[in-house]
Amino acid sequence: MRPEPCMDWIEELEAAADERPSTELAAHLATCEGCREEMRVLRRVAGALGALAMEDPGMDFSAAVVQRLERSPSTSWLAPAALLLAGGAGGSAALAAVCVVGLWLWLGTERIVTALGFIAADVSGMVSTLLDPLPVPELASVGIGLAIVAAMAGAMVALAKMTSATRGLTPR
Amino acid sequence: MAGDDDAALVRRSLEGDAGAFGALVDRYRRPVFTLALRMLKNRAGAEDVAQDAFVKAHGRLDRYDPGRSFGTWILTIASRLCLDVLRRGRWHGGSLDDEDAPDTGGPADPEPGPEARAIARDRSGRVREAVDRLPERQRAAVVMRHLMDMSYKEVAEALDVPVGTAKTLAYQGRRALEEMLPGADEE
Repeated sequence: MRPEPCMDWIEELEAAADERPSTELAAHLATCEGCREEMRVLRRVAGALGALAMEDPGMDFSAAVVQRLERSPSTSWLAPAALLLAGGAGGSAALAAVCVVGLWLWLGTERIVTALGFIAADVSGMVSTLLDPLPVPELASVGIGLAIVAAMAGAMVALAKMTSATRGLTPR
Repeated sequence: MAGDDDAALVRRSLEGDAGAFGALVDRYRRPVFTLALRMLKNRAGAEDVAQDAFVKAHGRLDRYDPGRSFGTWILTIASRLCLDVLRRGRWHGGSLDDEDAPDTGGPADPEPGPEARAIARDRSGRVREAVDRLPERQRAAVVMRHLMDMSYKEVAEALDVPVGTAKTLAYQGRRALEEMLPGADEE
C-alpha cells in the first residue's frame, strides 16, 4: 500500500516539482512519507506529460468557426433587418385586423354593406377616370371597381371571422 | 490585433468586430482542440466540439468576466461540452494511432535529427496512449491541470465537482499514469 499525500499540500508539491521546495514544504517533506512519494510521482509524471505537444486542428479551423458564426441567425447581418420587417408586417396586420373588427362591431353589418356600396361607386368612378384615356368600355371600369371593393370586403369578412374565432366574438 | 489583450478583443467582438473574435479563435484554437482531443480521443469529434466551444463562447460573450482569463473560460466551456459528449456516448473512438495524429514534433528541439524525432514521437505516443487510457474524469483533471495549467478551482468548476474532488481526481490520474509509464522520466 503506497502512502497517501496530504491534499492540503498538493499545490505546493506541484509547484515544487520544477523548483526548490520552500523551507516550510521542506520541513513538511522531512516528516511526511506520503508527500515525499507524491513529489517523486509528480516529477516523473510532469516530465512525461511535457512530451505531449499542443495539437493543431489546422489552419481552416478558424475559418470554419467564422463560417458557423456567419450562418448562425444571431450573428447574421440579415437578422436585424428580417426581424424589423417581420415585426413591421406583423404589427401592421394586427392593427388592420383590430380596425376592421372594431369598425364591424361599431357600425353593424347593414351600415357596412351600405358604406361598401358608396365606396364601390366611388372606386368605380375613380377607375373609370383613370381608364378614360384608354379604349376600355364603361362597363369594364364598373366591373373593375366592383371587383376591388369585393376583394376588400372579402378580406374584411375573412379577418373578422378569424378574429372572432380566436376571441369568441361575433359581428353584430 | 495580435498584440491586443483578450479583454480588448472580447470588447471589440461585442461591438461587432468579427476580426477580433477571429483573433481569439486563432489564439486559443490549439489548447481548446488539444483538450478536446485528449478528452474525446477522436480527431473529428474533437474538432467538432472545439468549434462548438467557440460558437457557444461567442453567443455568451456578454457574460464573459474580463477579470478572468479568456483561455480558462473557453477551456471550461470546451471541457463541459466534452463531458457532455462523453456522457451521451457520441464519440467513443479508440486511442488515436500515431499515424492518425499529425506530427507535432514532440518536445521543443530546434533541429532534432531523424533518430531524436523518432524517439520523441515514440515517447509522446506512449504518454498520449497512457493518458487516453485514464478514466474520463481523471483524464479531464490531469489534462486541465497539467497540460492547460488550470487552477484546481477552475478544474473543479469545469468538472462541476468540489475543489477537493478535483485534486483527488488529478492525484489518482497521476498515480495511474506513473504505473502505466514506468521509467518515463528516465528516457
